[in-house]
Amino acid sequence: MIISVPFLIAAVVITSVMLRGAWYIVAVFLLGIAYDVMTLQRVGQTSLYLLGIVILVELYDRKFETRTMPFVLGFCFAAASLYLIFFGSYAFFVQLLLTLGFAFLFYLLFVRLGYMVKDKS
Amino acid sequence: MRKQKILPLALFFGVLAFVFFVFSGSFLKPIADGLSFVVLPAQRGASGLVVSALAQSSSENEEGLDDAKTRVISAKERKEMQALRDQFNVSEPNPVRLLPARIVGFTGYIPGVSQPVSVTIDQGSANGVKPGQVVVYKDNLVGRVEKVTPVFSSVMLLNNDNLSFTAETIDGEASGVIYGGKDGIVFDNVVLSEKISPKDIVVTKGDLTADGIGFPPDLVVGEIKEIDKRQSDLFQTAVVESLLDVSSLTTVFVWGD
Repeated sequence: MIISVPFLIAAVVITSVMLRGAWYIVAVFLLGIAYDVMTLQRVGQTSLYLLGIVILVELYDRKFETRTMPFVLGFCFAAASLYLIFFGSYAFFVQLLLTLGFAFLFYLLFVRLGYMVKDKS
Repeated sequence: MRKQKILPLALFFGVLAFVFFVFSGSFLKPIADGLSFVVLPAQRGASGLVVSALAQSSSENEEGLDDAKTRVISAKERKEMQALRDQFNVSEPNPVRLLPARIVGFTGYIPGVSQPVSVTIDQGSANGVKPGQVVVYKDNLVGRVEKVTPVFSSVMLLNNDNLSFTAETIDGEASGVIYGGKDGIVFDNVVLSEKISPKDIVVTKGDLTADGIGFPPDLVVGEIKEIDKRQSDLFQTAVVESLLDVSSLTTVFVWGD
């Protein structure tokens, strides 16, 4: 289905902003592997890309506040655009819009759950 | 938790993913193939959930969860049995050479907005599926196998812009090339002197290799919908509409030995 890439990118960006820890890195790696196997893509490419997202978010988080709507939406837009340019070839704009839609919904969900409070530590 | 150093770990797994990416086609292929068997139950489960959800939404009377589940399963089984019965009732293509396969994934499909450009089926190289084999439903062409893993295969549909093959009208009066385009399925390279009309049926011309891979002749591609014929052009072009709604299919058949 066309929602798989937008859902995956939005979920990884928002959770990499929210969640940290060794288990999360392993989960992202395995998620990418499973996605590649299911979609018959070359195994490792999505893991590599998703881990790149996690590393970039981590680096941004050292200098800037990442738990904001502009960062989440902007990062999702950039991440989905590059993924679709490199690995996807159909319904580019629809998938991009879906990514932003999912990111918006996930953001609202995490705000509701109280995750979007600025880190004081 | 937030200040935990995750960068080294992320880099380690990044390198691991890169190694997988580079060598998954060579010495890591057995591991990549083995992973297909691991994710197969999840893929089938997810596919089953989607089918169940669709069937459930169309059921008019809800009589409790157990009853609904029974109806969903029987509706799904009925559909698969009907597909098998229909397929093996047709004499062409030869039923002996058909391998039934369930569609477990659609690529590029948004219900009501866009049609799928490829589908994933639950039969792979372990079942003898090879890239280049065609997939049919009754005597209609569905697409061509593009990629194969031990348990899954990806099938390019006729509206996929990476698929092209030779075709002709059913009366053999006009021949040309079929390819996928923005308008759907395009019948191109038909010389101006050859006659085509709306509602003409287009079939495959036949493009089999010696080992039986490729397009067999006389599989139905679709019906001509619109014709673009200009005297100044070398060729005329037609838009062809498939007689199949692939998004509603659950079972298809891989053609070949």
